[in-house]
Amino acid sequence: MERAKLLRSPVFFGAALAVLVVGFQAVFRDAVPLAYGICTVCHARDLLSRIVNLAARFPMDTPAFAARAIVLTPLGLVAGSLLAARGSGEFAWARPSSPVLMLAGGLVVSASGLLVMSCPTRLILRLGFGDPFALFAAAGLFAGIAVVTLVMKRMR
Amino acid sequence: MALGVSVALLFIGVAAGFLGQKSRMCFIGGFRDFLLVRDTALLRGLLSFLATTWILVFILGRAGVIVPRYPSTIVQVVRSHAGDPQGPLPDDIC
Repeated sequence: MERAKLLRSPVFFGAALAVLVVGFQAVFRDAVPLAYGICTVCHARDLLSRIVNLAARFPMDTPAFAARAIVLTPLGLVAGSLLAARGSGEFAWARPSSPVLMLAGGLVVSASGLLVMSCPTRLILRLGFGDPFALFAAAGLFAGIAVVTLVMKRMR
Repeated sequence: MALGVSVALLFIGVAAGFLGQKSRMCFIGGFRDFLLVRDTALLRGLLSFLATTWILVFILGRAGVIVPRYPSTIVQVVRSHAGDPQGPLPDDIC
């Protein structure tokens, strides 16, 4: 498979990301929680609480390792996708159809993600690590997607 | 060690963002596309991520590199935190 096609393949994305995050786990196994390689919700929380603690000296709960390391994954995600979009000339500002709905959706996703201690991405990762608790959360996640997808189908 | 974790997580973020933009990857979208129009392109990405993680964790677990120690449930976190509200959160809560 040629290089450009490989980069655009979701299967390659999944395999490459898995190698990165499991490799991360193997290298830093004593420093970080299990199945911690990638997460949008909990990494953003750890980054935010670290920033708040540094800037305002307002004591916010931080996991012990996140008080030492700066969790830069959320910034990296934005930077990496921006780099890819700029590089291929696909970057464009998009106007959301309903900004209020998007804001509310983001709030619900992060709040419910913090309840089960992971965003959907890390939920899959935890499934791969064999976490039994993630099985229930993933079942709920997929049931939720199914319900909303069926509602969307009816609305059309 | 802390600097290494920071740099590694930044690298994982950049790589995931770059490849994610290229492949239009979305785990939620994979499931939605399958239910809506029976398109399995994104779902295959999800399954490849899950399967690769599974295989690697199995191999590294057998080799003793990764010790399977499951992340806590919310109940365990609340319990441990209730014992010492001022203390730091346990390391495996995230």
